[in-house]
Amino acid sequence: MNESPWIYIPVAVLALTALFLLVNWNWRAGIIALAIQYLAVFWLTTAEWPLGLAVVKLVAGWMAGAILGASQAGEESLEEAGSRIAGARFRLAAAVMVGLLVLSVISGAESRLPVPRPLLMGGLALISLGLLQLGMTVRPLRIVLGLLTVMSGFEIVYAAIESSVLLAGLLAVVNLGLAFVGAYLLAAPALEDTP
Amino acid sequence: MSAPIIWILAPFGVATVLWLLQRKTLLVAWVGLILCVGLAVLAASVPIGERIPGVGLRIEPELIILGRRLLVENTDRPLLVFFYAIGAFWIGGARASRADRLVAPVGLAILTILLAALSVEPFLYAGLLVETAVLLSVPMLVPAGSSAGQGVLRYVVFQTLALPFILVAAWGLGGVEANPTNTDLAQLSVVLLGMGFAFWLAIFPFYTWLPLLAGQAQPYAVGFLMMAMPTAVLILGLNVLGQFGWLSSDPGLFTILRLSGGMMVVTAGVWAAFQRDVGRLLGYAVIIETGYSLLALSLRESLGMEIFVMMFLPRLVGLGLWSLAAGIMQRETGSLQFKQLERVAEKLPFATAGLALAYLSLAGLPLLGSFPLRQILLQEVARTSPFGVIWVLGGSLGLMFGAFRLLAVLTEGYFGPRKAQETWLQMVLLLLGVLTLLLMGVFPRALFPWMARLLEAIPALY
Repeated sequence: MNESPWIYIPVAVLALTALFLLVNWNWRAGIIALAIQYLAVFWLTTAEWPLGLAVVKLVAGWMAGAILGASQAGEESLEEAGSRIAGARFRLAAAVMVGLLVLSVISGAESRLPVPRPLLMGGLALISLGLLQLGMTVRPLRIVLGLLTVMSGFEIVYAAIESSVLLAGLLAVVNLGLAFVGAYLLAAPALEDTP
Repeated sequence: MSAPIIWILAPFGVATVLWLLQRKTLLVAWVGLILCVGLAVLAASVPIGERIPGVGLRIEPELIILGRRLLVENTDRPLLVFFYAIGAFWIGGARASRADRLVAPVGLAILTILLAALSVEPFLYAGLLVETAVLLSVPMLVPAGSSAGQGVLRYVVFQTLALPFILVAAWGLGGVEANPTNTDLAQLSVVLLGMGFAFWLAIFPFYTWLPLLAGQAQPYAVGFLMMAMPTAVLILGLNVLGQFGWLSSDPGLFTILRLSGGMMVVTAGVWAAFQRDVGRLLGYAVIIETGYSLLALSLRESLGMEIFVMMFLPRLVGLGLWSLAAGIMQRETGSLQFKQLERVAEKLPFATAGLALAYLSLAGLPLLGSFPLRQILLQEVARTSPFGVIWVLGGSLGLMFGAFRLLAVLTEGYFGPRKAQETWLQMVLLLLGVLTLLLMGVFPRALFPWMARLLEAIPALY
């Protein structure tokens, strides 16, 4: 795999987008960050997979974002207005601690999994920040964004150990399924339940 | 014609059509019921991979899809019968319980996907199929017009988190098969596999979502899901242990199973004793059932396997009866909180009797369905860890305590003779459930040996 310094650019993009998803309270900005995140996932995956296969992740991810975006009824915020700043600060502090934890476990993970360091760093960053997101919210959109982030991180790591075309397709289906579930959960209260 | 087409793909196709026709609830219920009964009867009577006597046809056991194999062998027939019996049981009662219209089509689709997960090779695709079943179940748990509670969200999160663990574990297990001396990879695979199954089965301490989900979603849908999913995942786990023999040769695995199972029974029992919601109680009862299944597997002998498969029957009837009765009560009172259920026995005597007996059976009360197997199981566990059995009994007592509190709420000590408000169909189904639980408890040899045939479909570990 190409170990040039350029490969660390998508790693940084992944960490920043995941961090933004964690502290952001505007759903439009969140969906855009998710789209950029999938671009970085695609970039990182091309280091291990052929371009044609890696693009599946990009397309599926963008479709997932589009599904979630289309299901938003117009409510702009992901957070209560009063708790935004304090909540963002708290999340940022937690993210820093989680980031330090990730840095400390990378060498151990590297010795157990045959995954190149940049992929491992990008993958673990997404998994840890995604888990943090999942642990700090009860909102359906945030939960689905967190799950998609965790799955993206896992898929980066998994791409280095498994390159099955069918598996790539099925994981894309799972991502789309998560987005559909998120969209359904957002829309369900307003859906008509006629007999 | 191949078995996977008959018992997996074709019913999935029918489920899709039924989903499109979901507003015709009577038609959907009847088609779903007839299909499930028909497929169960077919599985019970027609051999797979052999010529059918008198017809001359042969049902092929395998189907190759995109290079991967779905394999349904002759020995899997009892499993097919059992799964379609679950489908018939729940779809048959869906109208009586006035459950959401998605229960029949989505339930059928989930059953076929779980069967696909049990028959797919290699094993890693099972993880993706189980995840598909989980995602598909969400509309059933959150019907149109209602908001998603925290329980549903946590359910999706915990079940989805299992997927990465299972996929990496499957990769690791394949690596260990290729190079058995790689002990690091073997250890990593075991840990990841254990985590994956712990998330799937809501094993201690990952079970917090279950009572939440059961307290917020429709009891009928939750009951179905909590019967079908853990059953499929437990059998999938045994298939994995059978496929990778070195996993089950480690005695440490059985110690972990015993500890996890015991902890689940004890902690869930203690929590159940203080609940004030019938839905949440269902969640704790399911946790305790899974705990007992793990305890049965931890015996590491053929008797444990027999108890493990036989326990599916009282669980099926108990959860089914509970879901039906709770569904009827929820429709009538609007809530399953104890406050709303005070003296409900006056209006719904059959549902009250059904709920009480289902609960007491799941708690292990003598003369009811679960008791004979629990007694043997606890005797066997006591041989190796007598102190542990006392804790487990304590957990069961907690559930029993919750049952008596519930009875006190439902009847408030007295209920006078009034006209029952259940429909005749509800009364018949509730009575059938109650009688079956009593039959199992009083004459355990009448029904349980049938369940032992399920062992044919499970790899012999001991």
